[in-house]
This record gives sequence, structure tokens and C-alpha cells, in this order.
Amino acid sequence: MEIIKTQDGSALTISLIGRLDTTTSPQLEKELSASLSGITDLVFDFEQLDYISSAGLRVLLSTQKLMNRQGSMVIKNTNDTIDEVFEITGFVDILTIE
Amino acid sequence: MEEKISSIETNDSQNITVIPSSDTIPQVQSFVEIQMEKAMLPMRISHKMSISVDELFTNIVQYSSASWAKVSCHIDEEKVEVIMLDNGVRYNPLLKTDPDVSSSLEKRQIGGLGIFMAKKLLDELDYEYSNNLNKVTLLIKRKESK
Repeated sequence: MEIIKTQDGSALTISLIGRLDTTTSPQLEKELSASLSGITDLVFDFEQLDYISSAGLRVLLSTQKLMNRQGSMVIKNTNDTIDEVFEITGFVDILTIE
Repeated sequence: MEEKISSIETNDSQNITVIPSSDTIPQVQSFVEIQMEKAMLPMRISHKMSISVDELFTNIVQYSSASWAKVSCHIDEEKVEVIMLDNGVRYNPLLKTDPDVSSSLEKRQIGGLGIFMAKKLLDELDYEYSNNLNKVTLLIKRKESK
């Protein structure tokens, strides 16, 4: 998985390319823990993300909790598979998906 | 059945035998993905299978203590089927309690979510224990796919 970060002041966009699964989630977790200090607007761009497994959901969940305390978090450009994963897990109700 | 595998072996294009560990999860993933690419399965189907393979094989890595696991992939016009066989402790992933998917953000638990997702994404998920081996079968029908 490739992680592309675009920062503009306290706004950060993270684009993911590939898949967010058991193997790659620790990579995102590590990147986030080094990047979110002082960030108030976090956007995940999933245009080039193929799918998410439960390990990826765990990272999104803990990031959402953190961002609720310091700003906002939005997920954009999800494909049908990712929408289905958010739907069946009820994540559609706890994340902001645009 | 006592079978010792000292290193990772690929027997043929239809199955792969590995020592279950976090290092071999990507190998199992790419083995299944290559089979699905060869068969030119629609992305929707291959993504659902890839997620399910990640969840079920990760489960074997975490709970089975198996010294080997054999993963095979069968694709025909009707279905895509992945079978995972391991020599670890008897463990039926289907008995895992489904998580509460309506709880609030603060109360959310991730435990059990992976197996639950696989149950929902697959058309069939079966477990069998015989000859001291765990056998998990993951199946997606190619037609009338969800």
C-alpha cells in the first residue's frame, strides 16, 4: 500500500493506494501517529484504495475517536466494495463518508 | 497426521502450503489474487474474496498454533472457492460471537468483526474438523453475486 500525504496548515489529506488489510494497516497506523498532531481537518481519499479488511477498520475507528477530540475526519471516494464493508459493519453510522 | 514443513513450498498453481505467520499472510493473499486475476473475475468478487481470505487466514495465524496451512483455490464458471486446511488446534471460527454493529463510536469493539464481515461478504462459509485438521471453505457464486 502506498500512502500519499498532502498538508495545508492544519488540514491533511491522506490518499491510500492499494489495500488496507492485516499486512498494511500497521503502516497506516504508524504514519498517522506521526502526522496528526495539530491537524483539525483530516480527509482520507480512497479513490485508489481497493478494499478494507477489519484491521483497516480498527485504524479508522481509533483515528475517528482521536479526530472527534481535535477536529473533523471525512472519508471520500470509496468504491462499491468499501461502501459495502462500511454498510455491513455499521461503520456507515460512525464515520463521515462523502 | 504429522507433516513437517521446514520451508515454504508452492506445490502447484492451485495450492500453496505455508507456515502460518504474519509474514506469510501476504503470500497467501497474492496466491489467491493471482488465481482470481488469471480467471478474470470481476473486481467486486475478487475484492470480497480477498477481504475474506485476509480475515480467515489471519484467524489461523492468531489462534491455531498450526505448523502448516494449505490454501487451495478453485475457480469455475459457477463459483470461486478457497479452502484453508491447517493442523492446528480445533477451532471453529463460525462460533465466534457476532459483534454489535449498531453500537456507538466509543463502545465499538473490533473483536469478531473480521469473521462477521467474511460471513456477510461470502455466499458460503463452512467449517469442518476431520483427521485432526481444521478445514475452512470460503465460497462466492459468480452468478447472482450479492
